Amino acid sequence: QTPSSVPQFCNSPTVIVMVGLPARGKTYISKKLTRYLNWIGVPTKTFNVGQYRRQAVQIYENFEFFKPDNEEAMKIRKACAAAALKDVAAYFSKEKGQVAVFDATNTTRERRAVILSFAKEKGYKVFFVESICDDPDIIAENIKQVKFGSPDYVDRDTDEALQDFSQRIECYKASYVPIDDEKDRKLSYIKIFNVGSRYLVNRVQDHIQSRIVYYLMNIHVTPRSIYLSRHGESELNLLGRIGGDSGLSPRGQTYAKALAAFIRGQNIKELKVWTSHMKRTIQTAEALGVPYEQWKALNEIDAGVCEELTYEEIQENFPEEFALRDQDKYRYRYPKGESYEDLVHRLEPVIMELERQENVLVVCHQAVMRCLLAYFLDKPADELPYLRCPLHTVLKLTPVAYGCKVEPCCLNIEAVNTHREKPTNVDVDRKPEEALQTAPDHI
Amino acid sequence: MPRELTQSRIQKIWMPGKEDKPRRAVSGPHLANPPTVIVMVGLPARGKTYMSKKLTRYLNWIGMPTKVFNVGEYRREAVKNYSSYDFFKPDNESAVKIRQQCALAALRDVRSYLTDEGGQVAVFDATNTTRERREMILDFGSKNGFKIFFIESVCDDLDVIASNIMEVKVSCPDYQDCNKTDAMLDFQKRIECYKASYQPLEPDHYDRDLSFIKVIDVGRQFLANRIQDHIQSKIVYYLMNIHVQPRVIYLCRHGESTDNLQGRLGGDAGLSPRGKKFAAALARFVEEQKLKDLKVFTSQLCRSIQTAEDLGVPYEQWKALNEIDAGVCEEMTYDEVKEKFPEEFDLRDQDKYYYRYPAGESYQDLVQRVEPVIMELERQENVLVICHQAVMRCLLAYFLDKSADEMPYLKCPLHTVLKLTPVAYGCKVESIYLNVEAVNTHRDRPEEVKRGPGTLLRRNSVTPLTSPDSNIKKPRIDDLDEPPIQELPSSAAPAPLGLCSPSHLPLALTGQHWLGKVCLRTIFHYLAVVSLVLQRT
Repeated sequence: QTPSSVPQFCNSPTVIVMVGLPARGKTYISKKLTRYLNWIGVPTKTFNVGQYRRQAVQIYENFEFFKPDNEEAMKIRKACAAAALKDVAAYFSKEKGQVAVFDATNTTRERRAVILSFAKEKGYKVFFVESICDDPDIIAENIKQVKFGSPDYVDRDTDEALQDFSQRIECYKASYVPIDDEKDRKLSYIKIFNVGSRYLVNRVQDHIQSRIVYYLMNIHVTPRSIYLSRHGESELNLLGRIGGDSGLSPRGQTYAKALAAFIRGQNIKELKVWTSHMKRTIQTAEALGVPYEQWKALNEIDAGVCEELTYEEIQENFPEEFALRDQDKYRYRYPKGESYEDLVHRLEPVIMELERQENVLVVCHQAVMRCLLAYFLDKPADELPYLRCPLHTVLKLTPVAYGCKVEPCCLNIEAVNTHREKPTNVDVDRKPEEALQTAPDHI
Repeated sequence: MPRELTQSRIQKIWMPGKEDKPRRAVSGPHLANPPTVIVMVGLPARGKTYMSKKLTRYLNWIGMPTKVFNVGEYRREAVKNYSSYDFFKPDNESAVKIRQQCALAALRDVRSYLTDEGGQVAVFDATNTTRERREMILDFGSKNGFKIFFIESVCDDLDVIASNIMEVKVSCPDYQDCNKTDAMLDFQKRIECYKASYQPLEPDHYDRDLSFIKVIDVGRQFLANRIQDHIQSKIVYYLMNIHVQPRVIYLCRHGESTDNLQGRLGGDAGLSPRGKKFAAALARFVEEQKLKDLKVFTSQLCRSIQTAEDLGVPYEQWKALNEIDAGVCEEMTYDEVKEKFPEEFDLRDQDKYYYRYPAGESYQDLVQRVEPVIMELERQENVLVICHQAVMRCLLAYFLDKSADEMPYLKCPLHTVLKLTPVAYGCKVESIYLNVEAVNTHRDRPEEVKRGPGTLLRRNSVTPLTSPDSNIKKPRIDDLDEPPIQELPSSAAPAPLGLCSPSHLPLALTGQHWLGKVCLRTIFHYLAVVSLVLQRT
């Protein structure tokens, strides 16, 4: 078992069980939570019973499928839930998963009892996440955002879909028994009321459940945008040197002014601006003429002994290290420096605060921006270090439906390229030319 | 025209303009804007003061100036002799008046702390069990632009309540002349006085628009309503992670390393022969302690891991526990630093807490880095942390409520285990030297150093402070006809700033200090409970 830069959070596997009527945000929460846990290094997977049902019953007719007295449909639905649980078990035992999110309505005590006994038998912990909402506006908005586009309604018009879906919800309402604070006092759960205006948390058992609760209590659904940008081109960028703490080059200064104009043009309400503690991001933010806050956690990855070297110099002085980095760029830690894995751990409070905030512009660095982007776009560890984050380009991220819309805005100011793809040969005994095959040009 | 940036000499922070006014900039953003008043709610013996003090200690440590205002203390000042629970009877009109005035006096001091003394969070520690009282506080908050956050503790478990009373009530100044049984009986009658008029927070109806957290049955269940901002979110997270199970935390450094022998800072060297002896001695010590389920945390540096290896138990490596990064000074001796970077050497002595090594870290950075470890230590039960000098000082400052000023000079010698046991409102410390010789790596605060930009409290300062002592020197409330709070003149004497004078007492207990009528019996009672921290070198 390779030691990681973060302590192991889970001993027994944990099943997170969503509970709630349709259109209460269960799948939204499931996907977001899964994305967050994977990003912080806890292997997590969602099991959506609706998808199993769509596999089993190829064509969705109408809400009658969900009527409580539809015996045949009931059989199918039970079988789907059982199949999903079987896959959960396989995920834990064969795929080294640590958390499984069981995304279904789970609105009856009976169904929840089935899950609890399954978990008990296998030695899994269970944590319930119940979403309770009776605000008709929120529910209508949910339906609009994610239901009309679902495979079930792809051939219907929106009015028809809305009608059918509303009746679907009614089918569940009669038999819905929420988690009971008295009868279920021994269970571990969080109840979320009206998209976070209130939370009830019962019996948090361990570290991972505590982190999950903290995360759920910090996310919100208010529309907003997050702008990610690197600092303007720096003096060291021009020389092809990594790290350091240099100032902006003339083109970098031009970018800072262009960024200011761009931001003004976006007409953003109450924009927060964050930078790192490094000169180049602060100089960039200075041009905006608005208050900004400095986070040390946003500093560029520490290249340790390789700070301020060019790739050619790294190849010359540390050829083995250079090759090892290409073999596993995510986990590789520079001697006396950091790895991308360390960066993710360091950035976690930034992500948590980004979740709390509304409109934010983050002026940071290449490796840092890759980590943040991987979180928002759900990119796995092996892709993260190779995400394209060129200088002088702003990425505008807007949450939509279950994910994030990305709009790259290149501000048309020339800059060097700092992106280095993985070379073909990553062996430690490769030739220098092979190592430098993908190194970008510089002065 | 973009403004020129200069890097501050001590903190190495880039700021526009010249460094004429040193700014106590933070390693992270300023995350509490309007000041916040945390209002405790609950019957007596529900852990309100326990939570108030612990929360205050945590917030101060992360750099949020916080102070507790305990209305009971104001009452003890106003009514010098507590006779019996009759004082708390709802029909005791003169007592009711006094209690009201005490609450107002405390709120007056809250306002002063938050408006004039640079405080950011005030914890108003009283029962606050009626809607009427809470309305008054909400009113006070809205008139002064303060956010109000309630923390209600609800508990009906009789064992827990009895245990609380024994732990902190029977020995409090009110009962200094009673025996334990009488004290217990009187206190329970006191609780009854409050019960009749107790109106708990109602999230579904009356109080649905308020921001609060209800802590139920010592943390089995939490109800959080309308969390407004970052600091409230952190407070909720903290409260959800703390517990009251008895347990012990052991802090020690790695065994002596080969770099230690040469007087070198930082680096990643292995253990010296004596260091290895310490690792073996530590293993024996841990076995002798006969602990249930000990967790072991180390850093990711070789010397810390080597020390843990001897224990023969699983351990977890935390990069966050790595020693402070000395940047360009890594692996130098102090003499070499003095020679190569004489200015840096001086700057560090001027302000050791804020001083950041070039391309390295400061103690202030360390606190941020180590905070997740503290959160995990709160969650855990028995833990042994094998770390490093600066890191250990940070952790110790958290547990013993030491200020930023003191933190970099706390004594954490090699080959010595500090055993921390939570007790009453604080932490008992025992220092255990494992009898393996080692070099001394401690550098005292130099006498001749001209104090740098000082530890003055600034509005947006994030100087970790010792939780300030309560301001006992208040005018005594003899006249019950004092006008209500809106017409009171600003307070006569501002509360003392949270500078921590060096403790001349070897006690490490962070309990209340009782001035005025010193209760010797109470102090001796606490002395009996606390071991003295001795250095056996």
